[in-house]
Amino acid sequence: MAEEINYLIPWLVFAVPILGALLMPVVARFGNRIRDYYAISTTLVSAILCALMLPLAIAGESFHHQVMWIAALDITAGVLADPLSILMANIVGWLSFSIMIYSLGYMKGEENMTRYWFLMVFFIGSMQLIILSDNFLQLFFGWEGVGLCSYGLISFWNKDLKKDYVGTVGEKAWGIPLAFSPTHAGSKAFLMTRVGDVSFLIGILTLFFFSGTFDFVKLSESHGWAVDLAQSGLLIPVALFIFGGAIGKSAQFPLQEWLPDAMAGPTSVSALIHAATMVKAGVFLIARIGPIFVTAVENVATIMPFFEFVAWIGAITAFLAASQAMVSKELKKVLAYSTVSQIGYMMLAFGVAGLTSDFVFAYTAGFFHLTSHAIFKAALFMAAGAIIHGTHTKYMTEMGGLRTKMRITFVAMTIAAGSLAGIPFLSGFWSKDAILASILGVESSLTLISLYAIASITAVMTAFYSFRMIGMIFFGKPSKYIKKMESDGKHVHEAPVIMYAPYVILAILTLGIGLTGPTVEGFLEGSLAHHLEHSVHMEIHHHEFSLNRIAVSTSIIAVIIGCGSSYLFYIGNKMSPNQVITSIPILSKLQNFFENRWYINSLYYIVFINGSLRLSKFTDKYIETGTLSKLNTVVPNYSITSSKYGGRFDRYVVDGTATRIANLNLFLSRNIRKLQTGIAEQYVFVFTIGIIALIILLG
Amino acid sequence: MMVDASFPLISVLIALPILAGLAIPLLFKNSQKYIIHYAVIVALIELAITFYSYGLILTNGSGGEYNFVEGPVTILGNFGIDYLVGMDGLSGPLVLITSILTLLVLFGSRDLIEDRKVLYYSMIFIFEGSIMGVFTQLNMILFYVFWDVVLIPMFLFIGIWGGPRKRYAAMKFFLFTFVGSIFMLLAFILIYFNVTPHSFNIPEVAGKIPLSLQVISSVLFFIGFGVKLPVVPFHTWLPDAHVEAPAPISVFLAGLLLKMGGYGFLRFNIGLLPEASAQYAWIFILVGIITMFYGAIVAIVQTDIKKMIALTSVNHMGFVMVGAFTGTVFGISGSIFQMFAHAAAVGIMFMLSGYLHEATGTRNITVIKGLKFTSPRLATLLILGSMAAMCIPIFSSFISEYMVILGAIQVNPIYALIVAVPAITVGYFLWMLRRVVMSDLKPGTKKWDLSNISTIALVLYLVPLVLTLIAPWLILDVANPISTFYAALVSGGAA
Repeated sequence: MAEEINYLIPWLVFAVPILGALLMPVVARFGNRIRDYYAISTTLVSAILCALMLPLAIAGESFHHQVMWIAALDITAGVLADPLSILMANIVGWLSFSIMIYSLGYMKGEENMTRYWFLMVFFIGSMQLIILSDNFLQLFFGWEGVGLCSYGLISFWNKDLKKDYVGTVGEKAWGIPLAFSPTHAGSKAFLMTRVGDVSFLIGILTLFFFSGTFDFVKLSESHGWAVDLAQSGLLIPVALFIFGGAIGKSAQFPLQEWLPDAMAGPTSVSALIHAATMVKAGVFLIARIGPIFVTAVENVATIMPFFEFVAWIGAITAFLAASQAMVSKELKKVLAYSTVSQIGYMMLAFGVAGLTSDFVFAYTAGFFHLTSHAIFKAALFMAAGAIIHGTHTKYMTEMGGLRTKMRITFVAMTIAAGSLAGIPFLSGFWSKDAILASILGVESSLTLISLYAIASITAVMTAFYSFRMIGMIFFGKPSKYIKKMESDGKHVHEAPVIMYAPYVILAILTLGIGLTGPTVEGFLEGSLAHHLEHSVHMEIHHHEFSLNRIAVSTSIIAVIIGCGSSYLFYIGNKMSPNQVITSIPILSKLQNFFENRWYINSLYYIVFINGSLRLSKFTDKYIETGTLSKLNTVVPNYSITSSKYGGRFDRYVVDGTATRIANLNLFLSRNIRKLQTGIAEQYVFVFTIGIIALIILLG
Repeated sequence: MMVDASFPLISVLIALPILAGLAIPLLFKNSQKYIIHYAVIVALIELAITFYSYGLILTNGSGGEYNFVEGPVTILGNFGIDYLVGMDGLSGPLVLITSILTLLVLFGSRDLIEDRKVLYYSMIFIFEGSIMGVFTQLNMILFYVFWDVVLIPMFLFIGIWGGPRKRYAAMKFFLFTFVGSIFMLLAFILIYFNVTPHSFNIPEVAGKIPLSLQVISSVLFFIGFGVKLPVVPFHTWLPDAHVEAPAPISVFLAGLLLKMGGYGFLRFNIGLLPEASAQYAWIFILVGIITMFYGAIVAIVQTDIKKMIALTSVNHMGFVMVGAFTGTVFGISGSIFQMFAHAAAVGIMFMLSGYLHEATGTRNITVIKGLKFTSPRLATLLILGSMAAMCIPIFSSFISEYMVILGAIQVNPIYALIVAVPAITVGYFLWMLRRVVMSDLKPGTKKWDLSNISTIALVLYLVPLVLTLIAPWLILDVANPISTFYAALVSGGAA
């Protein structure tokens, strides 16, 4: 028996927040309190609507509704509610709602809250638009919408005061500063993701040219386009161009540099955008197009290079970002790098899906990790916000010993960090384990070994930095900074209930998913597999859930190594990390290299920003105002001089035309003619040369 | 099914503003108190007629042929000069935006123009009437006449109401565009003598021009229209003219005058010379691409906000050029749409730069700071206007640019690289916004902001952009029939 839902529900999921946001300035007139509750209630309504679609997902069914959009070009708009989008919509909807509530406490007393709520709610609507769209074009609108809101929210504190900077002012790598003001960070995020968007647009437009549609359902039902694309050698390029969009949005290598600096925004924003939702858009996109490409090609091997590329980008990013998280001094930056790294993990899983015979297993693993990560990372960010709020510092080195002062936060954050580290019986353990297990299914052994090795090393690093963070914040002795604060009479205390309630609930959820891990995974797999088999017509291998022994032992060993070493350094304080690093030169070099972000950021600034400024200055100076205006003076002067000697012909041609124009000048203005007679010849001359050149060219 | 009105609709569209403009010196000789009211009423009547005619074409789906045709009425029979007007899917959107912009320019002029109002407003209407003539004339000689008549009010606008270097800018503008139009006239005459029977009427000469003449004419047209559009390297008059022109006139200049170039390329190069355009399309597309990149790259380092916007329109007009010469339905429709959307988008940006200059006394990006705090309304509109220019999909400029890109991909996937241009545009607009809008304020700076009426007038620029984003068929249903027709001509020419 097929489940039925009202066709309006999926539309309303994004329409309510988007329209709600547009009304925000009007509602704000009725008072701040009403505005705040109004903002939250729009996201609540949207979340409830998402929940109403859940039965459909549980049954593994899908719902598709379309209306005509641009009739002349046969382009439709529509919603596609299948298990993937419904589950994703619920994650986004409910996490957003909890973060909105948290915002009430965190942003209390801030100015410009109408703008804040507008951007947050519009953001949530755009995100849901991405998720529920049934075609690339409509998805792209949401895609740009989240980019736009993210830009506005990162630069929310747009006075660019020194206290709002991300990074330590004064630190430089290769002469490029490593600290960014909020508006700088916002522009950087927008521009870097735009690079990805450009690639995305090229991809979908080329795809449209070959297939004549943007529609996901039509794309997966017809196969001709993939054959045509493959014949013209464009199948892999098109897929990679589309993936470029995901690289930008999800901050994957080589476009990962914007996300750490996006921490210049309020922490609630970081929790919403840079952990739970927007950066997941790229992962979602791959989850959306992966099955389409697999079913569209006749032979899966033709699309393999694409999945291999995705897997490698994911693996590289996971490793790269984890290495930077290990040395970061700023609390939010640890979380930012860890987000980049974990998303790399998800990309790895979705890439691996196309490389194994068991597509759904890796696909589910990726989606499961997306779910568990969204929950615990949102909790981590919100808890971090509470700590920063309480201590007024962003540096972990200025915290320490907070476990007695913020007990609730301590417990919640430790659970979430444990999940990130992959401690058994927390949600992250199961999902990370599933990814490791799915890598073991890769058919090529060289790829298998290298990907598995990178993933395992990253797991060790993840465990290490998770507990380094917990140790530096909550254990050890209070820092000088905290002591000074206390002696000044400002005591660090627990966050208000409206702030800690959301992350406590999410921590409990993490625990809950952890205790029922295999069941959750089985449910996700059942739902996604049913849909892929019956609606997308993929071949599915059904199998019973079983733990892969190699994967489980790897992840447990990784946790022991990672957590053990961080315990020694930061929690038990058996060894001083600084002493160890200074005594081994290679370690301090590595630390420097990681802290300078592998110099990738500096390289980009030198090549792209300074480079294009130089190109622009050069063009402006030597071509626009140089050559072109010089032509206006030198050429005519020269031609006039030479015509003096050169005889009548020149004079006749050049002056003859000039006289004609000069006569008209007379008619218009005697004055101006006097000033400008010289110019007439110049242009006539330049044009004559131009026309001759063109005739030669065309002839 | 061609549409006809029961009265000479197009003649009214042309004559009403011109007559109303000529009447201004008589009516407002002594008191200029109600001059703006009079002007707005005339513009509203014109707008109503435009809506009516555009609506008829839209509902009948008759954008592929000439509607409301009048004539040919012989004026000088021996010389082939007939009065022949008509409106199709190419002229329709341009006529529409002309009427809309004229009304909006009046609102802006109310705030920013103080001197010699009588002459100013009468020139506004003469400008509007002659632009209408350009977009609807189907006789090449009369087209040329209107084309050059447009120069006179624009020359005076820059020369009288302009900035410090107004004389230089006005003269440069005039010479460039006038010299360009001579080449165009030459091509018209060549065409006249080489078709039998001799004719200047576009519908009569279409399809009769031999290939060799097509090639020569397309070179001549390239100069004539290329100066107007403008394409690099014929563009140097544009930044100068914009910097000196008062803000409302910059709106006319970028919003309407540049569109004459785009219109010319589509009507003559594509419509009359499809074989030449098909064979040498790559040259024109290349020039268009160079224009785009050049405009974007030079715009990065500009410190005068108005010059930056002027160069942005060079970059956006490159899209029109590329779209037209792709010879595909998407490309041609996209470039018509782009002309419509760009007119509104660039209009608001120029007006804002005008208000900015009025209030702060400067347009220097490095000097103006903290606009968000001194004048939140203007700051918000500046952000929105920039977004329209950045082709963010909350305004229809996104659709038009993407259609051009799609058309270009159909010709050759390599052309897809032009999407990098909007990315550069994003870069320098964000940089401008960071410096002008976001930065912290020097203490003690006075607060100032737009009045309610000015705010509404400025928001009106954005309305067509949002409307045609939600309902792109408003433009595309009119433009697509003619694009399909032209695309068929070009692909026939390529075969």
